[in-house]
Amino acid sequence: MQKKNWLGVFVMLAVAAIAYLPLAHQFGFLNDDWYLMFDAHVSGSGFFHEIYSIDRPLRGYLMQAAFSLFGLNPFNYQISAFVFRVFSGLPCSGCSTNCGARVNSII
Amino acid sequence: MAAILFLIYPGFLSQINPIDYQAQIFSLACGMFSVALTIKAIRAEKCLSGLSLPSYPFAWLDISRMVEYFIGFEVLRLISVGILYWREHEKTITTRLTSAFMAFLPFLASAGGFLIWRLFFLKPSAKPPMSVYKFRNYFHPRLPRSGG
Repeated sequence: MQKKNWLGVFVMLAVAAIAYLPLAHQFGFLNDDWYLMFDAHVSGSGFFHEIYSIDRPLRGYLMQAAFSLFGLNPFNYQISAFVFRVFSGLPCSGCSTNCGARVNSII
Repeated sequence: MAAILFLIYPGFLSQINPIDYQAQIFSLACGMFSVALTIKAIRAEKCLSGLSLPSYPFAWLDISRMVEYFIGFEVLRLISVGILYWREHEKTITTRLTSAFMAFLPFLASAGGFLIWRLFFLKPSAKPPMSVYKFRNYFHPRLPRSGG
């Protein structure tokens, strides 16, 4: 059973890697990334609070932490996005068992 | 299979610029994690103890002041909770509905509180910082220019 779980995690990591990583190292800054990175580079990561205070205040804290960790290297952000996507799929593996039976019971 | 589906769905067209969309991708992970914890807690019949508690902060993180449209996760949660309680055929319909509502109540309070704050109390600043607008206008010259 334990082996089966790890196999599932490995399959999910492999699928996510195929979906998100092959070209990740080739991507640079796109669209709004430019001025976000410019502002943070020139004014410091605290500047994100000023940008996002308009509508999404908590986002400033996340971007501040991300910029402090990853700096100006876009590849680091690609990797963290990959990790977050894996984490958004992994929890479902734990609650999807007997999903079919559950749906059948409702129908 | 469901887990693999959620690895790639919902897809973000802007997954390739994760600097700007870091918050969205992070919120998606928080939302999925929170809904999964809620389902786990109900299935383990520990709705108000251990397992369900961590789902509250994650639910708060995914919508509250991070990315407001992830409030849609609460609909997914409501449907999931409803399905799980609907399966308890030995109980009356009223009991099932009441149990589902009680399990969903903390999240309803959280989402409702957020909506009230977002609609009535958030005071957006008059305009974004100047340098942001300078660059936005440089890359998107057709957008209206700021007044300042």
